Amino acid sequence: MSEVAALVRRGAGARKYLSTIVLSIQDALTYRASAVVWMLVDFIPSVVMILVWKAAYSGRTQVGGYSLSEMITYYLLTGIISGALTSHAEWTFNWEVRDGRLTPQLARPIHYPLVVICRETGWLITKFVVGLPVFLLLVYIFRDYFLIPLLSGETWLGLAVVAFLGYVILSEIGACLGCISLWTVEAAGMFGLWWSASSVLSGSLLPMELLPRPLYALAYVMPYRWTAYFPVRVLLGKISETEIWHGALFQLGWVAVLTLLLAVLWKAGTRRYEGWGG
Amino acid sequence: MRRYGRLLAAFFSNCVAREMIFRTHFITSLIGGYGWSLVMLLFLATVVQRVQSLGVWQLPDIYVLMGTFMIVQGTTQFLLEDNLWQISSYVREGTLDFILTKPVDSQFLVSLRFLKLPALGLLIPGTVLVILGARMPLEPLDLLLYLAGVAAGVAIFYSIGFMLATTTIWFVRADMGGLVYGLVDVMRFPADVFPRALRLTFTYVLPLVFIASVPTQTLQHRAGLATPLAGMMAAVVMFGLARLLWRFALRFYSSASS
Repeated sequence: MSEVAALVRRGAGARKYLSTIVLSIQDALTYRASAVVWMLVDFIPSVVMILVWKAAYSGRTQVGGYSLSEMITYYLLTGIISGALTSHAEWTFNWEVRDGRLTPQLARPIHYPLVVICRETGWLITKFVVGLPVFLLLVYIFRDYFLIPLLSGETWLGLAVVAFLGYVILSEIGACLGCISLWTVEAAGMFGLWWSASSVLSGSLLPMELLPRPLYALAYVMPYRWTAYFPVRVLLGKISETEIWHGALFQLGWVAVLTLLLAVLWKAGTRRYEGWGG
Repeated sequence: MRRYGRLLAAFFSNCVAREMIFRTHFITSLIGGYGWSLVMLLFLATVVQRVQSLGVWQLPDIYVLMGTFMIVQGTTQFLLEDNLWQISSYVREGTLDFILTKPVDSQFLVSLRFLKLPALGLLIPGTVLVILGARMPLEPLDLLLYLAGVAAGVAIFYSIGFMLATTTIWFVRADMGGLVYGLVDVMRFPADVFPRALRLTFTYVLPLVFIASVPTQTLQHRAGLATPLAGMMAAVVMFGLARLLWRFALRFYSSASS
């Protein structure tokens, strides 16, 4: 009986977080026009980079092992994948710490970092669904170059797993960054720098092979390449099925490391945190 | 005019005092501001190095272009950014009353009251890049036209930002601002990479090419006299439009306080 009660309790625990996701989807749908605008804003750099590459190829068939079609497809896919997977949990942390709204959250029977990640998830789902037409419009504009992925069933399944794990990695990094606010109160300046670096290391800026040597080495050992470069290469059909599952194992390793790091930072941070207001 | 100078100096010292209260924030904002500019520089420099040139744009030209954009962006953010989103709150809370009754131009006061000091940090790497890429020797006339072009770029950037902020008198949501800022941001790339239709739009409708591409071409001896002069005219027109829109918007302002 007690086991059943524990299971029910656990179910109720999961329901809290599921409701948070649903609520945040409802909230985000109220601002669906904003979601379209922000998806457009997310795509602007990808489109400009495509235009730069188009000018750069002028007559060349290959640059860095990529044909122009592959390069354009790479940037379009990176645009949608990064847009859909990148959570900005750190901003929510930062606002709530700064405005003293974290204090009442600490008294609730919830794991605050997970709640923030769930809220971001709802927003990301909405942004992805509402922004899909924007992506399709861009595919139409660049239809002469876009390579439609013709992948096996297993690869599609692998992609779903890899994308999900990429999202977990990014969410946990966001939450870890957010924990810095517990020490500094105002950490927004650092976030910009951090995400600029992550766009280089994730392969959103340039396919990793084209990065200068030291940056390539850094990108190789950091978790970011598993959040954009790897899923996009899977979608481009450049990764075999076995390699996909190997990659997923590496991602799981990062998820474990980041989960641990988040737990340590959260514990140490809340011990140090002095709540104001509320 | 002197009164406005004195006021600007007072705003400046007030903002220095404010920034010094949150020193860590000041330093992280200063460094954080470099991030995206460096990333974009890395992208363009890598592409150009791979293919030698991007049309007529070679690596030194890219340095000047990126540097010029950083100077224009840094100056505009310094002047305007912290004021942009205040305007709708002035309207909502009725505090615009206090501004309108002061014996100072209201546009001056609402758009320059809070100066964003960390944005000035962009001017240093921007200037270094321009010096690094400039074709020597510099002709005094080119340098003069370049500086005038940068000033025109700041005026255009300011006017677009201010017009957007003015529209918040009617619409509270600020998302369109994000879109236009996203568009302005692409002006750190050579204007030649855009398709013809976009290039024409960015020249005649939303004159963004004058923000960085045109001053760069001037400094690199690639523009005649007509192009920088057109930039200055565009700046005057945009500033005039921003002013007209502000005056027009004020007619719709009904005080919120008692």
